Amino acid sequence: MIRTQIKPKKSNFKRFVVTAGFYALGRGSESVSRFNQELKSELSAWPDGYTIMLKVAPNGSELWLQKKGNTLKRISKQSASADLIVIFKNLDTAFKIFTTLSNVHTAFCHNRIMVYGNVSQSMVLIRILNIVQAYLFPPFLSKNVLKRVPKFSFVQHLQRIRVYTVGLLFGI
Amino acid sequence: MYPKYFEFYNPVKINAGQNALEGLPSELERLNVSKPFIITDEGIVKVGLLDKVLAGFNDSDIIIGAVYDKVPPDSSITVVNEAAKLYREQNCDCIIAVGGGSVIDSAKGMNIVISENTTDIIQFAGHDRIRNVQQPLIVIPTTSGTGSEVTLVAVVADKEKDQKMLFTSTKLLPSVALIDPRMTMSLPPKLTAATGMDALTHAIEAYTCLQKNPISDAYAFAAIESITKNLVNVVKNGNDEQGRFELAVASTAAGVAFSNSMVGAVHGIGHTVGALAHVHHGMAMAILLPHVMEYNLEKIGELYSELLLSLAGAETFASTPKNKRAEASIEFIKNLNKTLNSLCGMPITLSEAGVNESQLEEIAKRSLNDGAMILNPEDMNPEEVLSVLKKAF
Repeated sequence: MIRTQIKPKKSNFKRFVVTAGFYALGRGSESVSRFNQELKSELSAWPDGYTIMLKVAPNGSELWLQKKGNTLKRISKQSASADLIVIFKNLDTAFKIFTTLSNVHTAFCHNRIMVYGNVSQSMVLIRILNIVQAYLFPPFLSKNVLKRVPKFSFVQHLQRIRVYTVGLLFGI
Repeated sequence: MYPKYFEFYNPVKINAGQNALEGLPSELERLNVSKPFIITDEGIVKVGLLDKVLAGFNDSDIIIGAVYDKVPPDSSITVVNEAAKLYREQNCDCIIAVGGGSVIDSAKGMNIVISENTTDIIQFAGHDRIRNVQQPLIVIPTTSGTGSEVTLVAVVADKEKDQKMLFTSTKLLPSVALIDPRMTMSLPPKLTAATGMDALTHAIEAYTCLQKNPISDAYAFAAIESITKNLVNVVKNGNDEQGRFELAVASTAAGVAFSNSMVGAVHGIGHTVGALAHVHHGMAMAILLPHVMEYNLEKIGELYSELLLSLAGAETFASTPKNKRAEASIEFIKNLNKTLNSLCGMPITLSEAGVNESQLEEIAKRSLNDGAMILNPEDMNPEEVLSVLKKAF
């Protein structure tokens, strides 16, 4: 049988997970940037208004973040290009990262990520994402995502509860 | 451990050995081009290496479109744009880079400007961003260290913003690498030692960092074996043409390895030592390599154990207990550094290389922003980088 003009299938489940993952990462970044001094210190490398876009190629979900003061804010899609763009080459890569089946440094090793902009600044972003992910994922999952899982103090455990509740809902 | 997934790509045609330069006209014909643009630096012209390349065209009908010899030790946007402008004015159709890392990076940079038809190379900074097919690029390395003739990386400085921009793309891989032993014969002992240690670091980091894969491992292993066999001899006797040739090939093999596996914290920290304290890149690599290996030891000791075979040979490997091989590999590097120090005065500490202790904190802080750090097997924070720097000081 000869078949022609075959359209690729779409995985609605994976798209949903990645969209939800971007939402959680965005809200989590907003929340953690309000209280975590290490993250604030990393942010000092960027000028105010610095924008980042994370995206799934070719036409998948996007997450836009902007530095405002010494915090990160989720912003809507901008018409101008972001200062730093990180593109997951396919939906599967982003799905694996958000489900802790893979992580950002492995995705880099596997050449599944493109970076548009200053690579040095992408290292700052990766460290920021590592801080946020340490709060978003419980330690038994963090070990799949981070090279080294930080040991949390009692206060940080409380802050994690804050991220899980008002953080993910309102970004505070 | 075998990776779950890897990519390996090396389309560069490697012509290596005696009279490689004389093959230039036929390579141009094969690439279907006829008006080359030669990019180099004044030092190369001064020591007569450019004349050797030009002699490679003798008895052919090739007209050299232009020679640009103004590349400084650190490539910059200004240089890249100036060279691209001359290339266009002279209607050239291919690039020949004759030199070390800076010249080759400049050639790759000007190629982006030409092939993407832009005046703003910064638009293409990043990883995997270049789309257009590049102009044919022939690279003739004059050092045995950078491996740039077979890598997908270019670094171009943005002097206005005081930052080095990184460009990585498989599109940047040259068309041909010409490895001619005559091109490295005039390299003085200290530079031979430093560039050789740079190549050794490429191979060791390619073999041990997170992006390692079985194919680049083979290149890395062979490169290490050849470098440790030849480096000391060539530093002792610069006229050892066969040794020079084997070193040059090893450097290229290490380049193939790290272009596909990338490098780790030795490069991450070393780039910053170079940028802030102006230490020669190869010297920074030699100084930092054993200390970063010690830092990574707990995580990847098994890989360092395996490397003892290529570093020290079969007899030493067999006579060293399995649980001592990783430390023996590190000790081998330290002893190699000491030997090179006694032979040609290559520094073995950061203080000997001219680094000021007050610079260490800033180096530690800025090192973390180097793209190579993400591929180091063990995570590092500023305090941990600082402790490595203090040990190397």
